Amino acid sequence: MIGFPIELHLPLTLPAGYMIDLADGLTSYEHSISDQAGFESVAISRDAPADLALTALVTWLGGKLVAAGPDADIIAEGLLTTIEATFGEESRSVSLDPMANRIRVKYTLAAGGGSGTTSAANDTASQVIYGVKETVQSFETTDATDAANKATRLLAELKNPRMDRRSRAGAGSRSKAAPGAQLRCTFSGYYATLDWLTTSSTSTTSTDTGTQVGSLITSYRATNANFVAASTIATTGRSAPETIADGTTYRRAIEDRLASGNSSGQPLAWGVYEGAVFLVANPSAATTPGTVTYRRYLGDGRIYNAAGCVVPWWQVRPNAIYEVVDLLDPGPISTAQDAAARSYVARVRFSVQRDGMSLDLEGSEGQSVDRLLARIR
Amino acid sequence: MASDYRITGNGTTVYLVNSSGNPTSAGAATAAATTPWGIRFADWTPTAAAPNTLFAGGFPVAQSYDVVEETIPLILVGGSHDTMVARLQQLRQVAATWQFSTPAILTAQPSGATSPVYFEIYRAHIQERAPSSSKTPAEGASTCWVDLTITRSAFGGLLSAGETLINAVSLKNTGTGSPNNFNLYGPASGDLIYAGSPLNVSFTGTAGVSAGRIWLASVLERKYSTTGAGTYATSSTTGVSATALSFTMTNNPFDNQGVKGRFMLRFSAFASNAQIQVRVSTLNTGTSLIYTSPWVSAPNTTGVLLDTGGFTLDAMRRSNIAGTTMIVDIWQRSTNGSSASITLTYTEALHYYTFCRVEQGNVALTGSPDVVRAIGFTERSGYPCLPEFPIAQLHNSGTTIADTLTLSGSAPRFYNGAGLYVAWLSNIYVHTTTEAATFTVSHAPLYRTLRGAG
Repeated sequence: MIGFPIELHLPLTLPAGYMIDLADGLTSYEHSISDQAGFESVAISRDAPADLALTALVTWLGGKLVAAGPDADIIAEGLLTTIEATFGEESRSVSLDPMANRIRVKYTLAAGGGSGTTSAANDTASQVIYGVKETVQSFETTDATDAANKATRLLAELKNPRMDRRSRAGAGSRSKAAPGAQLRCTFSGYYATLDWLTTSSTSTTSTDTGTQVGSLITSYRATNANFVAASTIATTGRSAPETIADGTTYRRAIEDRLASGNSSGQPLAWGVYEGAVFLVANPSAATTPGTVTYRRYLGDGRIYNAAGCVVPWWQVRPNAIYEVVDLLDPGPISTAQDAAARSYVARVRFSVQRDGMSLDLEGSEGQSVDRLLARIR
Repeated sequence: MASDYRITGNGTTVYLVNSSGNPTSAGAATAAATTPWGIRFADWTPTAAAPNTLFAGGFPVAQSYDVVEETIPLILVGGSHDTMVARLQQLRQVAATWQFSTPAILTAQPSGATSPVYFEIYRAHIQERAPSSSKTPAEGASTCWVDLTITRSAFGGLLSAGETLINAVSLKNTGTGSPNNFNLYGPASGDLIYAGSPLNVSFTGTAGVSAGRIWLASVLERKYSTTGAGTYATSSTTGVSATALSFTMTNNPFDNQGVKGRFMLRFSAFASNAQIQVRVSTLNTGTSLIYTSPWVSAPNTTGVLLDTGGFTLDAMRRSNIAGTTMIVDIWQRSTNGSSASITLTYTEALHYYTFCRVEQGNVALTGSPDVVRAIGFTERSGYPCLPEFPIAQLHNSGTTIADTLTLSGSAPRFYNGAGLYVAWLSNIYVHTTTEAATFTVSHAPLYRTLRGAG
């Protein structure tokens, strides 16, 4: 390869329908994949002519990326949510993160203390381009009319992506003009779009949690069909009430159910992977810590599979058991997911620049017992 | 014959070496016989591009090349001060054209070399100075030394067109018979024949061919087998073994350590609720797995070819025993618990160097004369054949860009002893084994410094 260590292709399909390969001019690429989100994020930096960077700021947001590795394998997917362009000392950033094109307002009546929720205020033009992104805001001491007005006002403010501009003039450099621009594009995995919509259920029927998650995905797709593909979720063997509080995001509702694990109390792993398909691993690899997925030798940065074949860093996935061969455990507890030599991989971060590559494997130690309990509830 | 070094930009050529061996005082720089320029060869030979190799604990994991910066020491015999400055200005103009037309070209052909090599110049800095013990240009000298510092392409290449390795060969969309889906590359030259040098591949479908997905690979060895062909059904959602078959490859992974393994599976029927997975081992079926593929769905229920992903062969390489046998255990499952049936017709085992997938965009290939091109290097009259960021395009009638296609993976590259493997699905992802297409492959030999007769 000329200028970059590996041949990546980063085709981005824009909302307008055409495709551009972001890998041409690439200076850095990084992605993270987690055992409770799947493809989590991608960030790329590349050089670009100034006019291309300007076009990107206006038309690229909401584009869909399928990142492919050197063996035509999909290594990440995501939705372009933030673009930053730097033109010398001028920078521009535009993002979908603060945007909302469907707004409801919860309110507490000033008179009498009752409460209510407005019907949704929608901006269909924005929804056609980016999909439906909802927010629910709360106001106290108002009435229904005022709450509806507030929803309309918020919609006008939030319906479009917001631009952040930074300009700086400084002394010390003899050159102020930049012949081109530097682009940084940040993508969210499709799992994050499950936070874009809210749901509710008053049913108290106890149903298998896997079945419930399948129904939630089907329900989500009825509004936003283009983010998460139709997915077949197997039963988990564990039942729970179907009740969901009003205003709960689909992501929270799904995580509440899957965090209960399976019928044996074992943890699950899940996420949105290739083809935007929602997958559930039942049980997670943490339940069989003796089955090693990846091995590594101290002094050798390469990752091997259990048979001794090198696994390219960009193909390493979470929900796996990782073992450092040289660190021989004196006698690990057979059911403990973590020991001296081996540990569970909850998140993988891979990055490559023109002059280096790195892989970080994170364990689940970041998940405190309190957080786990909060999720299981 | 004197050495021939020259710089061409925007249609003008400045000769850096006089064909007589000595610069012509006040001569025209645009002809070899009269140029006032000369190279102080005692100080210079072209600089080779250093590989930027990434290591992981002593083992290389990736490699790339960056541009080269070097200084060519020149002498300019102007005859008069004004003429000397005019020739300097002419060189400054000709060497800095990338923002105007195309990058300037440095041609290099030493005395005695059969063939020239061509580099692109991306930056040129020209500084005149006084020869030893002589008046400086600032004092009105008519002869000066010039340091020409250039940033140029990592490699030099041929001009206008690469080497043709496969010339309009018809290949069929199946792994058996003649022709089939594999064709060895012809002999190639250059510094990178063992490291992978760029190729241009063109695919011209015959009437009725509408390729919506094309696989292109540089393959060292391809094996075809109908063992295990038949219909299998299961309602298991966790998966069962459908059939297993063994491939004995001629290639030993120890001898070709850049080679990876891959299986392509062809089905005449594939239920919409079915998925398959391959589990690859080297000794006993299902044990000591060297690769387990993801579960793969089919894009169509009849006539599909499925790619099950690539894997490294390090375990076989290191064992040095039974290293050429790959046993593939084909598993199947149902996605919904209902019976899911598949009918396997053949399996192909690949030992490959590069593998890529080209997907059609909005415009379907409608057959000849539409052409799909996987482009790895510049191939245009009058310009160096140098590697580019690989892309794929659909050309209507071979001339108009009808669509930019999605290329995923590594575009085909030349490796000594390898050949082109191809397979394609229609625009509705049907695999038809009787279809044929015409392929042409050209190669860009690359040179770090000089070419000689290569």
